[in-house]
Amino acid sequence: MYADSSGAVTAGAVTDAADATPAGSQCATDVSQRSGAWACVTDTGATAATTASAPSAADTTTSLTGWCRSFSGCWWRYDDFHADFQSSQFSYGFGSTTLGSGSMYVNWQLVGAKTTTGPAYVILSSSTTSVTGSVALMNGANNTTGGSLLVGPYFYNWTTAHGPNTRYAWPSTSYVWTREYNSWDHNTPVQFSWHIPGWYGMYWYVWTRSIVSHTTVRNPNAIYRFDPASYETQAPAAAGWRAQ
Amino acid sequence: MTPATQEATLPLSGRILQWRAEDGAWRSLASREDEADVEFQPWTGAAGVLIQADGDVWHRPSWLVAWSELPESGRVEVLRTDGQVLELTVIGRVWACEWIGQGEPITVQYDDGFPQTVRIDRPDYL
Repeated sequence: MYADSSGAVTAGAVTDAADATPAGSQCATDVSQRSGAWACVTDTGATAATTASAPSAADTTTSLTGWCRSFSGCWWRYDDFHADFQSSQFSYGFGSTTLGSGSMYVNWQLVGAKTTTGPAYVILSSSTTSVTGSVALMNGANNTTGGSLLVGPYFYNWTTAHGPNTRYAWPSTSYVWTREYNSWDHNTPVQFSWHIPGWYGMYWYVWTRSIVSHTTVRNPNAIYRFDPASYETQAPAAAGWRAQ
Repeated sequence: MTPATQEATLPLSGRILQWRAEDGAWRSLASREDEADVEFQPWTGAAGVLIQADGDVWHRPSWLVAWSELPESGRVEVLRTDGQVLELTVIGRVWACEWIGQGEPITVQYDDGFPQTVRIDRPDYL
């Protein structure tokens, strides 16, 4: 996770003992001293202050408000039904080798009980052999730990090899729609994961969740509205790697 | 659904594919509730495949459904990792298939092109 209190990146579930060192500890050290796979939001090897910044303005139903975390990015709330996220630049690598860097963007729109996710893209500086995007709808209110899966996940896959500095954008004709009205709160996580040529048996990933949205009725006429920009689950964004 | 619209409902996922022949447009619905909201989109011949999983299939095997557009030739084949060829539902110029799985990749081959391995990495947010 790259927005936690330590500013470190936590690797996903990894069973390979040789690579079991939490990636978070990697980010606190210089790149030249790292071992195994890692993903960090800064490429300096140093961690800066991780205090989340205060919302830039009072959250109202009409004004644009934002919420930034030093080690993940910024969530913006345009109005009750429109929000987006722009990540900070992240980097990823193995041992003392930095394999690449990237950034991520996601846009969410609400209409009644439906959430539309898109545009959504990740930009990666390294070549890839496969990139997968995923979207899901989850239950989970402000400051809760995650939440249960409600719909999905959905996947879109870029199956062919791509060169460096490619923007992988979820096709506009395939934006994911999710509909659910039995839960008071929704959040919509989006992940991109990628495989790098020559680095078999592992992949790197980055993901974020939307600002929490809430409804006052639970029936087909439910209208979900985004909460203030700072209303997030306890795990609003992460980056890391997994053994395959 | 207008009379000119053909549709097929996939049995496991309940996903509904609709094809509108008059203008060569299609849509994929999670349920009948989406019918009023999801617009038809023109067929483009794009090869990208969308997949939906029924929850955390990596921990609890369940259905998965894939869908996309048919190429001009109408030739597409989807294989599981064990070589099983999945039965396709074809309507108009779109296709879909379902299977019970645990998140393994599938292979999609269009025409005589190089088979594409479609991975569905388990999301870390689950």
